[in-house]
Amino acid sequence: MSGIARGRLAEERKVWRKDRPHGFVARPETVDGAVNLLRWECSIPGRKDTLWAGGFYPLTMEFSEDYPSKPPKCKFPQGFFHPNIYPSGTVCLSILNEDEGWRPSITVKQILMGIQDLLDSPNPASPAQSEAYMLFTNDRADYDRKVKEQSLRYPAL
Amino acid sequence: MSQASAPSIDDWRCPVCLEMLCKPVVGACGHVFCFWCEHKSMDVFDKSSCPTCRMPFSNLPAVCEALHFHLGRTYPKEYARRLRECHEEEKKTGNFSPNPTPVFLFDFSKVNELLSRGLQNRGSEKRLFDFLEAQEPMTEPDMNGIFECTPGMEDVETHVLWEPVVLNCGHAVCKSCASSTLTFGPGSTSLCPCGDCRMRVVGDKMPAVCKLMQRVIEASPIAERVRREAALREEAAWVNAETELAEEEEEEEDHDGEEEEDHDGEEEEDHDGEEEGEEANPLPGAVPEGGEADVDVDDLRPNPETFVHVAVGCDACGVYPIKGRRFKCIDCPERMGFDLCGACHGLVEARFVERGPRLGAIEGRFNQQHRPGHRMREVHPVPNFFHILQQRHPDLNPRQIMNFIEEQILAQQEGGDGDPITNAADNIVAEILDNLEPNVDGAVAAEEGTAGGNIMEAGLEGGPVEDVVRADAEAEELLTRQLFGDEDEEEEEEEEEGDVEVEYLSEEDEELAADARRRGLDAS
Repeated sequence: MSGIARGRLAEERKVWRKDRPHGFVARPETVDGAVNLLRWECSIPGRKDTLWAGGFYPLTMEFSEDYPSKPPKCKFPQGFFHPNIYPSGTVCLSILNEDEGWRPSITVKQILMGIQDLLDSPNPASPAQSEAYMLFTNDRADYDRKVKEQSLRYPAL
Repeated sequence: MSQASAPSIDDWRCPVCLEMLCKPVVGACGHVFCFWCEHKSMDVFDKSSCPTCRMPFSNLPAVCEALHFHLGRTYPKEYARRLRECHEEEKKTGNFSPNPTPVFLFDFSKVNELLSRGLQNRGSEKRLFDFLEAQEPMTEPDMNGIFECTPGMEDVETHVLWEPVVLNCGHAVCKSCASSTLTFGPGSTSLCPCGDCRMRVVGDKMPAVCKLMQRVIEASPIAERVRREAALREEAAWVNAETELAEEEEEEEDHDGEEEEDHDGEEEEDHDGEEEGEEANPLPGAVPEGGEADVDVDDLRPNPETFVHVAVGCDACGVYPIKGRRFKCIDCPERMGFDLCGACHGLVEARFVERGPRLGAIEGRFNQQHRPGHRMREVHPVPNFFHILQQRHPDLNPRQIMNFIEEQILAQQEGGDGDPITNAADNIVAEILDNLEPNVDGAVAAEEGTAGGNIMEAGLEGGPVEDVVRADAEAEELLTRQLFGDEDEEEEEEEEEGDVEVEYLSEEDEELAADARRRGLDAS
């Protein structure tokens, strides 16, 4: 699907500005005043009344020229603590997998909401890092403590 | 039924580009997209899946004129802007989408005048857009002009659509009319009942109701009447079916049925089964030309009945890619080319005979004007990189084969000696060559003008594979189209320039490799 990516992202941007979920940030990066639509800097708030609350987790979305045929790659900072986040920071989520749940009609907003959901409800069936996964399955108290700690490291900007 | 709310302008967004739909097409699952968005989201190797629900499909639908006209009437300014954008884009790529002209629906008294000014033809788009832009929005849908069902049944008159299903040719029929007149699935011989297009009905099952269109109908002032009429028709169809059944049973006792029904069926026998198990019926004029000499290498030749013509679609039924026999028009001047699958080829020929030179013309998926008298030639399967790997590894699906190519490139990059892409290509070619019989004598002259035309050919130059490549005019073309070529606009620009093609492929491969590398990292 060539040629659609930028047009679609421009539309995503418009739609996002009109209807932005509370606490979320998503915008294309600007390098030397030039907007790069293929790379978005986002921030996902931890959901209220969960261990993740209070944190605003930075996420980058990398779109390819094949978007929206192919899903964007979503990355937290390296070493992000969560059972379904790879050590590189890449989010492992079925809707972001071209062979599983991705559909070109999924919007940036839906992705961000999906990831917010994932934060507090990890999927033990597809672990992506051992540390968080082991704690999550074996030592929930320690897991909770780590999550809380992490939330303090990402305060509101 | 209570008055439903009509779709708002936001409901007319294409789920792929998120802009207002432009030349909408309706998939078999009832979801609506821009023509180009749908086309660009299709898989060039294999079945595609709906961008909204992932339902598998094989045929690119034609533009749904009802929705196209409705958008033009309801949002003339916005729609004109979209058409303009789309047209500008098309001028850049040189590939055009059909341009059903909404002018007819604005002022019937002006039809002749507009026609005489040639407004319906290509090249007049600008005037058409200006015209559209100057119109005032119409708040009520044109129920009798646009949302009309012509079921093609003797005892049922043309009526307003209810629960419309949109066929692959872009024409809509009521769900209940479709279920009483049309058959779906492999082996279906049904044609569109609209009375004009006569295109084959394709797809595994009846399309789902297009909900967006149904909403327009439900919100119209006459919705209640339309619903009642639909219910009456359905009831009548029931009674009819029962009576017929009873009559048939009686008849069967008398004699073994009349041949009348079968007659139609026979004529169209050649046109069915294009997806699963293409029929092996050779059509008239389909005899392969000039290929007798290389019988020895038959085992290397792909089976023409199952061969995948990568990135080439049928302009009649929209099947993409064409699987099995493929015919190409040598007289259509459009750069996109005009191709037909085996099943549609006979049908189009028959249409020419039936309708004569003026009315027999058909419009391709990309606005090609294919006319009676145009000559069609069968395109013989010419294996490329992809096909050879596929033949060698029948257990792998297309994506796995592409992954294999990626891996080769990746391995070369890690080896770090020389240009990784070239090395990988050499490797893959070597693997292919290992699998071929050595020393098959050159039965055919090398193709003209394509030496080094692409990565595969460059690798194979002088190798035995060249001998199995048929020196057909088409061979050259297919090879230059290569893995990613044909209907993808940008690539076509580079068709002539051999070197550029190599570079393009390399870039693509590099991207794939980078992707694979990232995946590799993530997995570790």
